[in-house]
Amino acid sequence: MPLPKDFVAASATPLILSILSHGESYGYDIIQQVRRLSKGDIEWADGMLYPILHRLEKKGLVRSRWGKAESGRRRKYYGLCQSGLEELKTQRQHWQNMNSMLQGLRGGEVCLT
Amino acid sequence: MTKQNRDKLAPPDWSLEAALTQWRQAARGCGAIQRAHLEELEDHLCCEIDVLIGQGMGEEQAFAMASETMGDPRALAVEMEAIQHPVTRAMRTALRGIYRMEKNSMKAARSSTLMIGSSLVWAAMMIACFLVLRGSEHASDVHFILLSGWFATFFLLQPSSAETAKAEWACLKRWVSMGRR
Repeated sequence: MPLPKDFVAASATPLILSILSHGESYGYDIIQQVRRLSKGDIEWADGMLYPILHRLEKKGLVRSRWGKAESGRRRKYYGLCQSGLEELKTQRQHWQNMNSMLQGLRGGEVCLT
Repeated sequence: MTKQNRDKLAPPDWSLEAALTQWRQAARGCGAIQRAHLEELEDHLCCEIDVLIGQGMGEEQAFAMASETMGDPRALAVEMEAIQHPVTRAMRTALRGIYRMEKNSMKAARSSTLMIGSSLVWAAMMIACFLVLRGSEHASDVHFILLSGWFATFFLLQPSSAETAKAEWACLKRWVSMGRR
């Protein structure tokens, strides 16, 4: 089931940081990884990822370098900075808190007024 | 897939290189996108094209599908521009406006005239400041700011300095030849 837009937007940063925590990657590969991991539930528009990556870079959470792809084309690779790793830990904690809260409410009584 | 096989799938009058050039020009047309960002988007487009070709699609069809998935290059450029600093964005918007006006009025020597005009204005401002602020302790600061503005205008109006230099030289030669007549 495709996820709602606001949910996709809110999860973009932790997902990017998580992917980069496994090693350097580039835009197209990040989108493919998200598609694969979400089993198609998250479809990022191609134009959506790059402004987020650039914003994260500007914040100092990720760093970038230009390298060469196998095809010989120039390719921009992104990697995680130390502050990005810290941010990832914080974001993971937030999502875990939210999940615990929802799980806790699941067992409670449903009260419709 | 080899290049020869790929070529077999594409009609003879269509080339991927030409299509990519056209796509690049469309993205650059709005003037907002930085060269590095454009290169990154182009790599993304090429990755998608490679995947589609790998699935057995012809080059032309793969390009059409990949560029459609990616969306309008001008819209992408606007999204890219949205993350720029508000001051930079405002400056680029203003300069693009001037550039468009210039483009409409003097198509033949648009960038060169604009660049020379801009340089003259900045030079005049620097001379004026030199005369007004002579002896003042803030004179060097003001000159530094003006000089930075001059360089910023130079970069924003025409990022390729080699092209600009050529265009300016051609424009100056034209002006000199007009003066001799």
